[in-house]
Amino acid sequence: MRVTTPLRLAVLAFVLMPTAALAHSTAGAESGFVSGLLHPILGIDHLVAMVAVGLWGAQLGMPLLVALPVAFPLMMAVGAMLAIAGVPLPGVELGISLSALALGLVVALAFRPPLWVAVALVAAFALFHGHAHGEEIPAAASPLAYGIGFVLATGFLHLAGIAIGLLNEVRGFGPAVVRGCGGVIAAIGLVYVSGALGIA
Amino acid sequence: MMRRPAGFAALAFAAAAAPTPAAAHLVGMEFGDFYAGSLHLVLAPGYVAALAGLALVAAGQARETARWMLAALPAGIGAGILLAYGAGPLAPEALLIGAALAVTGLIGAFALRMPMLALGSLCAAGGAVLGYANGLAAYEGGVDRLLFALGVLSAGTVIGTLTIAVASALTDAHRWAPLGARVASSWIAAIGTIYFAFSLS
Repeated sequence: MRVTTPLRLAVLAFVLMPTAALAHSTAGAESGFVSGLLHPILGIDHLVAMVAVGLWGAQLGMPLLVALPVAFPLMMAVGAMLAIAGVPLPGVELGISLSALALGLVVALAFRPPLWVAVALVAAFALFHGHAHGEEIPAAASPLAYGIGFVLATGFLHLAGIAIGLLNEVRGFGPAVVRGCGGVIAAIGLVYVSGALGIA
Repeated sequence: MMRRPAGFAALAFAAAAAPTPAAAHLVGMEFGDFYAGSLHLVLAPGYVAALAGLALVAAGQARETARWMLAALPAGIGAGILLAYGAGPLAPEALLIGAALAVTGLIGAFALRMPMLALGSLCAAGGAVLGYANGLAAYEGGVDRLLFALGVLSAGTVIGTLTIAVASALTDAHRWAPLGARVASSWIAAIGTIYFAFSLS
């Protein structure tokens, strides 16, 4: 028999046939990972604040380009730890809304504070975000999978902000676009702050 | 044979895409427990993250120092498995893995340069945690413990060596890689801290 290309393909396909491995039960892990991944993305206030961290880092350049995305998850984990331990943090929702407003404003104004001020500001806001994530961990979820999900989502939102913030290097319209993004984020933050204060 | 390339190829890919269940732990085969040990380490995200954390620590070290991690890691894994087989459950797995992730993540995030002895000890301790956590799965029997241990040791050594090599090579080749390693380390530290907190709650 002549071995044709399609026959080779068929043999290859059968060799590579994917099958489900049952070594570890993944029901809790999957739901936990997806819950964790979606938590920062589906909350618009979380989402814009984290993108703003990346935008601001890109706007400020080194070393804050790295320091801000490193400080945020570390302090976010501390916030989550407090929530898991049952330690209350007052005004969590207001803190998250304020983070969107404040971080949007600093990007819009291209504010360049000393390094420690920028890190302290981002770290303080991260505490609120982490506390909210930690409080809302589904009871049935795998805690490790949930943690991986929300840390990865946070990290990729920072990277998205950095990617947009690289426009800052484009001569002409670049810095204006980045500052405009900051303005939009600040406006969204203002809406959420109004909601948290019961004004809107 | 008739020539029907498009249809034949479509049929082949349809067959390839058809999901069917399979037992990953091939306990009915002669070396099944070896694969069971290997997969036990590979399929758990916490273990893989721990190995990635060690690789990211290696990426920030001098190459002359980091190469000792390649010897310390399997030694630690082996010691951890022996401890699990001999002593049984001593501490919750989540506590140990969470702490390992948090410590290695913090060292990587701050890009701390470590002396050879400290780095080797860190890597051996990380390996011991991995070996212990995996060894506990075979503590109560039901598998060939030697084959299971060899599976864990082989998978840990191979994956650990490869991730350390890749992280080190990327760091040497790309200007952005050390920065990426620090950010990724901070993610691992955050995941570990949350997991650790859960184990205590």
